[in-house]
Order: sequence, then structure tokens, then C-alpha cells
Amino acid sequence: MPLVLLRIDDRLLHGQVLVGWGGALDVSWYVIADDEIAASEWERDLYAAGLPAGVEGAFLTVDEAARAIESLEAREGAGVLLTRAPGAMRRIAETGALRGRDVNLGGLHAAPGRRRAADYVYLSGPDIEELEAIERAGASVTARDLPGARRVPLAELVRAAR
Amino acid sequence: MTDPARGIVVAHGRVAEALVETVERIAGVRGALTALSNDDAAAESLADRVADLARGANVVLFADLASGSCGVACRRASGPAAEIPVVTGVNLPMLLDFVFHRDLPAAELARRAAEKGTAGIEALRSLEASDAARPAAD
Repeated sequence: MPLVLLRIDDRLLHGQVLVGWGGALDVSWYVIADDEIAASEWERDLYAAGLPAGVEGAFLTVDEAARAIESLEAREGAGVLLTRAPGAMRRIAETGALRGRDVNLGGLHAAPGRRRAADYVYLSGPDIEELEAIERAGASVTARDLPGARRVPLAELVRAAR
Repeated sequence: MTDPARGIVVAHGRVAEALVETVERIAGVRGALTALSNDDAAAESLADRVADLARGANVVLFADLASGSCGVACRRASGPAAEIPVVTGVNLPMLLDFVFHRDLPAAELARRAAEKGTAGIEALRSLEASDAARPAAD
């Protein structure tokens, strides 16, 4: 299973992802599914410049990423799929491509309308709806900032945020 | 005459705060550096905070890791034309040099910082390794 992590994280490529998860899972490529970044050369360059040497990055629209899941699973090496918000991952999950997979909620920071669910997860009503839709599409959603941390199920996060 | 340069140190956790405080303690120069942590900041808001702090002339941005949110935030704040110099791998040697040469232009300070920061890194050979490397006496 070369796609070893499906993660929602509003910082996308950052230290925890590249070092914490990247080191533990020996990740050699990242796919960022984000319409805004895919459409902007400057944004793509910005994130690509932040990748460690020898690690590849691909910047796809959310629709492109959803269509690419099967071929990504056939790629060599361990890879990570990242979205910065629950809605993009929900769109991918609703194609059925993530059935049976665990979606990792790695970081959603405080913002107006969001309430604390964990130290690194703040959720709004619409965020919760998107995450529950991912579970309805056949994937589980658990929060975990780093590989050694406890997996926190979505239901527990929702209880904490209400 | 340009204003004395300012440095913004952007790093994970409490690293920036500790570096800036330590530079002030060692060099006795205050107000030259501002610390910014990536704690509790989403990617774009961190870049906005860096850009706010970097407003004005003669600023150098220092990030801890080139890969990751601090490096990306600094590059984003610097803009597509890289108007504000960014130095990654921030360490004490480069910051100590920076605070004593703030009359120089930012681009020159960034070049110096990379040089001094790199020069401050050395793998010292342990006594054991030195012994192993020495040819055995007959």
C-alpha cells in the first residue's frame, strides 16, 4: 500500500509531516490535493522548495487527486496525500476511493467559528459535517498529530468540540 | 544611511524565543531580532504574521528548517521576487554576527549569515576516533 497516509492538515507540508511522519514511514513522495495551489505556479514553487532533497511533490486539483488514487497506490515507494481542509478530503472520499482507509486529521488550527477538539484540532459545524461525510463514504477519521500519538476517533473529537 | 537591519526569527515551538533571548544575553544587543513561533498558526496566517513584522526596510528573515512551515512562511512573506532575504538553518553563530553588523544591507547580511552559520558547524573528532585513525605503533 504505497499511499501510507491520507492527512488533513492546514499547514500541509511542515515539520511534523516531513520529519515526524516522513521519517517514520520513509516517505519518498507527497501529493498535495488543493485547487488553489494547483492553479498557482508561485504556490507550487513555494511548497516544492520546502521538500527535503530526494523527496518528490505533486500538486493536483482535488478532482485530479480523486481520479489518481488507484494509480498512486501502484506507485513505488511510500507516499502521502495531503489536503488542507476536510472538504477536499470529503470530495475525494465521495468518489469511493478511500473506502476502508483511515483518514488522519493532523492539524486544523483555531479560527472564528471553530471550537477546540484537541490541542491541534479545532472544529466548526461545517468541518464536522465534512468529516462525518468522509466516514459515511466508508473511511474512518481519527486525529493523530504524530505517529506515536494516540488515535482520537472522530466521535470523541465531536463530543469535545460541542 | 539605511536604518539598522532587523531580523525576524521564525521557528518551531520555543526555538525562536530561546535563540533571540540568548543572543540578547550574550551580545547585549536588544531590539535587533524578533522571535516568532509557528505554534497555533495555520500556514497562511503564519506567513501574514511574518509579513507584518517584516514591514519596512532592511529586514532579514531567519527560519529554522528550510523544509516546513517556517521556511515556507518566510519564502511566502518574501514574495515571488524574493524581496526580503531568507536564511534557513538559523543558529546562534549567524545571529550573533548579524546583531553586530546591522549597518550592512540586508542582502549582504543574509550572505554573511549563511557563511557564519555554516562555519559554526563542525564535527569534532572524538579521542577514540582519533586513536582509531592513527596508525598502530610497531
